[in-house]
Amino acid sequence: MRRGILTGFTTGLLAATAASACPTCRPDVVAAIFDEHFWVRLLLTVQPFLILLLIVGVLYFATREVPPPVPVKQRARRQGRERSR
Amino acid sequence: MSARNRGPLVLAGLLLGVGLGGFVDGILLHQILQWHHMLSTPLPPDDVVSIKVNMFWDGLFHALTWVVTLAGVWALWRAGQRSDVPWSTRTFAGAMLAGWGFFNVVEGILDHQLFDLHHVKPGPDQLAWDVGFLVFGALLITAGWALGRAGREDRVPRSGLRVPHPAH
Repeated sequence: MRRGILTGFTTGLLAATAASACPTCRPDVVAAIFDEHFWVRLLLTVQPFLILLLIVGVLYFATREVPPPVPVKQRARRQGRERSR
Repeated sequence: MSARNRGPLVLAGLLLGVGLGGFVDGILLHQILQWHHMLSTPLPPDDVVSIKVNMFWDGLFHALTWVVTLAGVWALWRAGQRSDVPWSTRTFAGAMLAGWGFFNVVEGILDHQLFDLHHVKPGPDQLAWDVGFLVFGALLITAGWALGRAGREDRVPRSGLRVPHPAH
């Protein structure tokens, strides 16, 4: 008896798939995602991130500090000093 | 001369703030509380198909926040290898808070107000919730800015890195 229940339960679990909860859903879902609004919705979903990246870029360039270029003579002198070590 | 180039650390903090702020929205408001989904307004999640379509767009939103977070981790890794970048907790935490705040403000203005894709908590008080979301974002930006400003005093690079020599 106990073994029968266990076997039935296991068989039921194995037989049940997510799709069997709603066998007609999958094609409906795919059709509803890729309908005539798809590209507009994609653009609307992506747009906040584009603006956020723009803001991040502006703040990055506002806070970074590029060191002034080292004159050629001085660079050569420093390299010579490092080589002699 | 000390480490003064805060840009790379600010970049990492902002990206991580935007990404993790997006995850707070997606995980807390979309999934745990289920107050809204990406397309709640044009496609109310009243039946299985509508819920699944909303899940698809929620997933796309999460994928974008994941990419931004990954970019933040990459930027932080790069910043940690540079001797001209001050390894400042205040700068980094401030940038993260500001990034989260920018996410709320930009997403709130665009998705909630302009595009009308969804509202924070649809219902009779939805405007109050939307405004609260924006105000919270503005507070995060202000707190992040104040913290980042205090972090300007931090000039020490990550331990183990040599401070660059001054140009004479």
